[in-house]
Amino acid sequence: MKRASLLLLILILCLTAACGEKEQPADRLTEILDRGYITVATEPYFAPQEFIDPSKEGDEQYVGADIELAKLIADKLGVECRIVPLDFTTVLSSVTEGKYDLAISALAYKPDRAENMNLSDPYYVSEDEEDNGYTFVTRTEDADAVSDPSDLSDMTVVVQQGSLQQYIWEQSGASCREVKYVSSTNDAFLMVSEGKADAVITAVGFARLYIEANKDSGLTLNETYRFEVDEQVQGTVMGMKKGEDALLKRINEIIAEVVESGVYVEWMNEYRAYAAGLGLM
Amino acid sequence: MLAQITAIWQKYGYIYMNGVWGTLSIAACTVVAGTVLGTVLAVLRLGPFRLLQRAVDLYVWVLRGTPALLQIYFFYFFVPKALPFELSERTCILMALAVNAGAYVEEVVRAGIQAVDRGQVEAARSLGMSGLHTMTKVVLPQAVKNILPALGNEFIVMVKQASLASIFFIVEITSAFKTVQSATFITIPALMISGGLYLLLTTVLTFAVQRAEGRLRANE
Repeated sequence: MKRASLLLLILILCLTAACGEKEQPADRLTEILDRGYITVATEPYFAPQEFIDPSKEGDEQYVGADIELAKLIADKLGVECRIVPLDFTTVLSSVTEGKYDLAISALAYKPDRAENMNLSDPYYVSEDEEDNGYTFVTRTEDADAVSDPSDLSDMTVVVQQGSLQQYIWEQSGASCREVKYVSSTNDAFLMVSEGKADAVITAVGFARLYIEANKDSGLTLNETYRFEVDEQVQGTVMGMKKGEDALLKRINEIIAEVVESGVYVEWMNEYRAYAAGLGLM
Repeated sequence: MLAQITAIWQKYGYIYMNGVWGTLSIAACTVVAGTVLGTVLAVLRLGPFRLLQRAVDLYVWVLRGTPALLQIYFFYFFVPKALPFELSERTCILMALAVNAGAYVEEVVRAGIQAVDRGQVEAARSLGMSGLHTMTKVVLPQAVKNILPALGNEFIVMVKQASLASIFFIVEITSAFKTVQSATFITIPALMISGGLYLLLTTVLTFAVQRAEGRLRANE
């Protein structure tokens, strides 16, 4: 066993040494411009920002407002846009790890995210009252009894791990019997439908799409209560590897133009209708 | 429920079919690469070189002792950085799955080889056959017959393990399920379809392994 651990040690040393040798040259922005394409990581399960149109093939199948934005950024940089679909947690880790250039995945500003990556200026702050903000979804039979988070004290709350919703729930100061974590909010809705949990903390717009597609899910969106969200975390941002300040600066310039033109809001409306048309109904 | 399943299948059946081909190709690669790798490792493990024996022990210790998911992450994020040439994402994941499978196959094959009576080796050696010749012509053919059920087990695990590739959106059945689920927001019926497809694949595989067993037994 002693020799085995020695071998393991050597193996690890070799690997880390090899990793170290291949350090990326210069800064990321120059590298992107040199190689002629930008890699954008996204979790395509979040309509209308990013989702899959199953009738299309290859990169074409990824559609949504964020995808349009990614293409626009690539255009402005004069490079090709390559979408990399990944699980949400992998989106974050692949960008902090430096494997891909940019994370555009309806990311919200969170303090712990800001510590681990460069976050851009917000490119979208929802103004649409109807679909704005964060609330919770319960089973229809509980809906009358639960009007705000203080009523959740003896219930099981489910939330997407590492998401803004989790942060909002923790900041709200409300208590519950138990918090359960899932990797996708879709699973959270299902857990409540099936009685495995009692309430999902979710973005309003996303919940509305889910409930419309699942008429017999027995879920009801709370139409009156909205969680308080600090101004800092309200916007949707992009993530980059920590320390890539030249890239961040260029991205922020492009975002400033996008925000000015208001085109992102148009995309949101366009893709909301698009996403609703994909279901079975 | 049934109506939803038919509706999903009618609209998005082709996505599942692409997934089936994806799973089949991933599984085929891991089965072939894993079996070859595992067999080579088992032969080395039982060979005369102490250093190689310990190296195989270490390999099995690490790969069997850590989750396959963790190994996929490792191959996905770190191995490409350590290698001087470009690797596609798909290759990274196939490598991880094959390397993982190799560790399990090694143990199965080793058990099979050790179960072959020592007298067989002694007889072959005294007839003047070389060590390698004895292994490939005398020991392995007998070992294969003994371990076929256990290998079949490993093959089935490999087919299902391919689903781990879905976190990186490699086309296979579980990715197909996620795609359909995210487009329709309908979960359980979409999941039932992918479950049915996995069952179909593993049933065919089980049947094939049983046929192979039967044919080998017929030679007895």
